[in-house]
Amino acid sequence: MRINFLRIFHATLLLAMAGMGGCYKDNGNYDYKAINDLTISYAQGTSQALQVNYEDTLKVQPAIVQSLGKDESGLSFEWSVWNSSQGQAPNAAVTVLSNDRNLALKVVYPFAIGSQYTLVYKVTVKETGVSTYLKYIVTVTNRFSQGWVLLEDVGGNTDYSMILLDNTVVHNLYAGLNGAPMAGKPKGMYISTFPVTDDISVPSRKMYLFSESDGAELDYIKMSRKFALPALFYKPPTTLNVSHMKWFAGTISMLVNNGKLNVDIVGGFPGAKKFGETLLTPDGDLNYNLAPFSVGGNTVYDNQGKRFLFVPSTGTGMTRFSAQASTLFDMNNVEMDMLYMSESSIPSESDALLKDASNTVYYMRVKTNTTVASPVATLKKVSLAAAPDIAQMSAAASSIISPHLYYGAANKLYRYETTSNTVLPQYTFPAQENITVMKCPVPMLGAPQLVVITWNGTESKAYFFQMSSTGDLVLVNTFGGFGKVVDFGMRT
Amino acid sequence: MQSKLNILFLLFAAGILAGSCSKDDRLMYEQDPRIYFDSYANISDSINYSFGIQPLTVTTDTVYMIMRIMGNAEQRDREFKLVLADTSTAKWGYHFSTGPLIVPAGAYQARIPVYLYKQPGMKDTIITADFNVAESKDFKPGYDDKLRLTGNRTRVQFKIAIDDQVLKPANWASTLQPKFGDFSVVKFKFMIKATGKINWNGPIYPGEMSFLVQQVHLALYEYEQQNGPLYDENKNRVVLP
Repeated sequence: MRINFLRIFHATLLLAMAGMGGCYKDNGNYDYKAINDLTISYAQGTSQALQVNYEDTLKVQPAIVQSLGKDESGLSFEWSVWNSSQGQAPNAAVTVLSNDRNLALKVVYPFAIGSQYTLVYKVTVKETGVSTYLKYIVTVTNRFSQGWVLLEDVGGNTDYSMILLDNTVVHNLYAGLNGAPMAGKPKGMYISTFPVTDDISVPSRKMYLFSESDGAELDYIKMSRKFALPALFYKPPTTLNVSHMKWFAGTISMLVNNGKLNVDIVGGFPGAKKFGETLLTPDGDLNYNLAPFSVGGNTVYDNQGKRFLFVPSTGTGMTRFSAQASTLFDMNNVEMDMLYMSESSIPSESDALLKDASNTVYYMRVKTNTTVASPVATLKKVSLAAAPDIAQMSAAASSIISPHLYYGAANKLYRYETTSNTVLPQYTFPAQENITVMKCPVPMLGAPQLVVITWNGTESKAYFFQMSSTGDLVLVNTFGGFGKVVDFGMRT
Repeated sequence: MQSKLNILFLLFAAGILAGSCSKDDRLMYEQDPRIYFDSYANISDSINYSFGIQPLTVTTDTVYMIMRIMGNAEQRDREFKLVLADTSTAKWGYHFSTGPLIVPAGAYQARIPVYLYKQPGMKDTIITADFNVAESKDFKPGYDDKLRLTGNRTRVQFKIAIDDQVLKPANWASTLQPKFGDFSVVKFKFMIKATGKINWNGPIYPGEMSFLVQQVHLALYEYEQQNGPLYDENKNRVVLP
């Protein structure tokens, strides 16, 4: 067969011409119209990175330059945001915040303290539909990192206020940070004085709130709810009614639930550490009812058996005190009810106030670091029968700098000196203002302080007293306007 | 002549260019389908099961072996074959049986149930089933390499040991005695029932140990409240330190 090369050549040439036709330059005769080009930039003195305190107003005013005039009526605006914090899903939901020229946004829930957000400003030329964008990275900072936290009853639910270091008072923070108050009336709160490593979350100081029907560990930085109370147990108790919690030396936490003791042992070993099973008495039973106190990381008090109980560091059960521990009174058979117990100005020695069957109140001092060489735990037992209003005591607090114990009865504040066994009145609050809580908190900010909370039936007030090394008190500040405050703590 | 050469050159160049557009095949395993036990690295190559630590009413139970294939999944069920090695003391159908030895259509692995039967003799002897993968019409055995640092089995071998004994944990004296006191079968079974923990060998960290001790103490208290003291096989009352 003869190949017709001429035909092939023609076909190839035709294909090449067709291909080249695609390169033909269009020299059409059009009318060109200038469009409005936008240039958006960060306002002078600002940049992409923005920081705003939670509850403050974020104000952003970008600069817009138009190629055609300055009238902005032909523009439309949109501010949108999404959470771009580390660990967030890349397809996080985008929320449109505003369609205003400038942004003025109060940063509240669902914004979270410590989180980072991408804020996008979109400006569209209405005539052309062309949009131009500007991006900001907004970090929500925490102005609540230091200050006093007051747990209060707000309409039958639990919330807290803060008194910041600049004396600003912020109310309803729990609801503000979590979307709603904690259900149920408040019962108590606890803030650890040191970071705890429990391997169920990032090591940090701990902050817990308890109400009559709920309880939670809060994220210490964000102050938002982190774990519901049951999640803190290996196996949650059937009923939760926490009356006391306290972390000691970073190794053990004691939690009194329904009068029974659960402990959480932490340390340098791996694995999640949580609260364990209910502990038994030295007799191997559940016949006890703990007072809402613990001291020294090893000592609690059983109001049913009227005895001190010792908790070994293994946390596997409670034991009796040795016979050598008891000299002034029997640690294993005190025959009194515990009213108050806390570490004194000497951390290994604790103050306690108890009353006997005749309602006589006694001051007792117990040592919590006994050894074989120094086994005596009973340091002091003194009747306070002569102490004014002691039978009506509603709150007490031990000084952490001097041998004094303050107690409140109705609207009167007294100082008991443990070394001289004398009582001096310290302060009288307005009539009807009854003392409900008082603490000499650890750790402190600035000068040592005693904080006293009162309640007049409609309002709680917080009184801040500066303490001297001789036990004298000077009122330095008063804050009011709170719901009924049942407990408080300090963030430092 | 020159024009013909030019035309040929153009056609050749076009062919070369067209050939450059061909898709490169992916590098895939295309040899015979094979199958092996998913039991390397951190996954155990054996199962030890004891009826002794179960309630007396438990006479049969199920454990699982995981099989993985080499090659692509297929749109049909495929059969594989397991045989017992000569070292086995278990009898198929008497001490144990298995579910269908099938890799389902579209699957790259299969979870095969092994039904264990409590039989006389297990109180004195540990019965072992030493499985080997054998060739079937659908699969050849996988590679018989051994990736585990410990253990004696390859990826085509798997062992199930069955007994009806309550064996004293090897670390009882060193670790458990201070927490739970003297060993007895009744006490150990009570501990297992109270905590749900079956394997007491190996390290137990302080947090977990405290919880285990607390659980056993509370469970024993609650048992005695309902039933009176618990006595062990030696007629001694079960007590805890």
